[in-house]
Amino acid sequence: MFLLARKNLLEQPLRLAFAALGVGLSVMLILVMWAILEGLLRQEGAYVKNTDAQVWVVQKGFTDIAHGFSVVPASIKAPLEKIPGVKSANPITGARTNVPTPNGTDSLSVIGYDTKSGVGGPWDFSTDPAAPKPGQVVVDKTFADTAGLSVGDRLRFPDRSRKIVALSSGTNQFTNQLAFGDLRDVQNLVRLKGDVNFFALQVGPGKTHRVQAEIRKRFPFVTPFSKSTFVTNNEREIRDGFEPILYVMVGIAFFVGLAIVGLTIYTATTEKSREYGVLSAVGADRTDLGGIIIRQSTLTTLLGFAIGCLLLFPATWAIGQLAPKTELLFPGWLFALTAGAAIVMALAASYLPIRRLARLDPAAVFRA
Amino acid sequence: MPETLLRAEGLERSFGSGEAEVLAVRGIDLALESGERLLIMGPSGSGKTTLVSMLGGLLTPSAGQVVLDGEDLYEHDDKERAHLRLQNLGFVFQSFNLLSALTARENVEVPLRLAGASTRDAGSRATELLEDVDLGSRMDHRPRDLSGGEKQRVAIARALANGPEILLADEPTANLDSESGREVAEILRRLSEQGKGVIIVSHDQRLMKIASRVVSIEDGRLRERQNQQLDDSAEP
Repeated sequence: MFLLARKNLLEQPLRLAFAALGVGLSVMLILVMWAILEGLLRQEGAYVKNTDAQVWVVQKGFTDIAHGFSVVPASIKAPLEKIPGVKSANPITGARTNVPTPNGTDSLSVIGYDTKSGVGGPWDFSTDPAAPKPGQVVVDKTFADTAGLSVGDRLRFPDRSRKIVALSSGTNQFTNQLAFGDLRDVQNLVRLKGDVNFFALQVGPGKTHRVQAEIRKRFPFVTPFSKSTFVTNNEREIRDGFEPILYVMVGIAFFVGLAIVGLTIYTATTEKSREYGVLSAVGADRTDLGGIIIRQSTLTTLLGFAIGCLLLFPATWAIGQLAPKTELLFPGWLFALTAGAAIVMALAASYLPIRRLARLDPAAVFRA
Repeated sequence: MPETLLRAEGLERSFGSGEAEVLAVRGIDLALESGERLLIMGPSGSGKTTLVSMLGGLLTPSAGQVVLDGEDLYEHDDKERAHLRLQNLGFVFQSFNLLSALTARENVEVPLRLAGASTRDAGSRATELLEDVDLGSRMDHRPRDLSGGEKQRVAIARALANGPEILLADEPTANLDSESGREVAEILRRLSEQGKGVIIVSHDQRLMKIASRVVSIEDGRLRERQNQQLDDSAEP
């Protein structure tokens, strides 16, 4: 009965097109919303994930980079490195600051790191790699592109101007793009003499828990986080802030899609109720009739899903133009999940038409 | 030796309840034998449609039974009754009731596919049936492109798809011109000669010419009629 389902739909091509387009828009919205969240999560956790450190030491009471301003004494570097299992303790300091650009004023998070160890610095470049010296910075490529800057340009910070020596990739954090400078240079910028914000510790394999326990014992004024916990802490801000909104938006998009398919299939079923009566008279049982409805509904939503996927191309292009700092991430599971949601949409949309068919009087086919 | 294909015993059907109750069919006994062409005649509102709906397993009687293959149709649940209709009964309707989205061949394939035939088997059987009713060249046309007579012949081919022993035809010539009506009547006669039992519900007097038995229904009661034109050799 697949043939009948398909031909019933194709008999009204315009209605099918509208329904599939409606579902497509709903699917596209679900995908884009989720891709924004995934992009945000990746952006937010990217710095910690890509820094070659297994333990992060922050001021007690602080849990992540984004919230508050952790301050730890720079003097604990040597004692930290004396803890068995610790290979190196790498100081990191940073601050968010506004900088004038050719396109106006924009904010930038400047991170100071030990350029000798490289820990805490940029991990990927879109230009030739470079380690910034005092008076130099490596700037996020997205920031440079939107601000109209390139390598060799100078960027005026509150204390002095610095020359851009390279552009980094993967360092766009949605509302916050990263720039990297020499540790002492950035300490001067943020006037944080004798203190740093974090220590990123490189520890031997399997030593993380023991090192954390030892730090807690020796330095009660700091908290040592494992890399995975620190990543989670940093992502939590996004999850807490965006996930509830995302679920509401995705829910709305789902129900809009459901309403469109439901109404389309219900209308088509009502219009063809006599033909369903004929089918019932010639020997179709309720399962057969329900199967036709479900097939129609599934075909419509799958077509809508395909259209939704195609609409991603103009949608991502438009987002790239309007909000270039927004990173969209489309993992494979997101498409599988949305396809699953489309199937659920199809099944749910079939409910009322099937109920209507259950009340169908097949004897009505004898009435002229 | 003709065998009884379908038997109705004490068939009754009422609609509404209390003072508004209307008894549409009252205590009807009826039997259809193989090769028989039973014409049920009666004016509008006489209970013809109610009777044929009950005989076809589409309307549960208020009392009585319809026996098909030794079993009461209405002792089965909806799903089993649908299966019995699919295998044992063919329906021809006044307004053809073809599925508008499908071609003639696909319409005939529907009952075959419902019965579990493969696409290929259903296709070849449908082609064969449509050629039998002289529609070999029209089988890829949709109903809107067919004449009334052609539509009714497609409907007959569809009714015969699963090789039922019984054909129920409700006013099969009512929407046809005289030539098409004659063709349809001829097909029905040919089918009964092949051993099928045909029940025709109609008020078309021309069909009396092909009927082997005529009964009339009035106020829900059945009355055997002497068919003045009963002559199997006569042209319809």
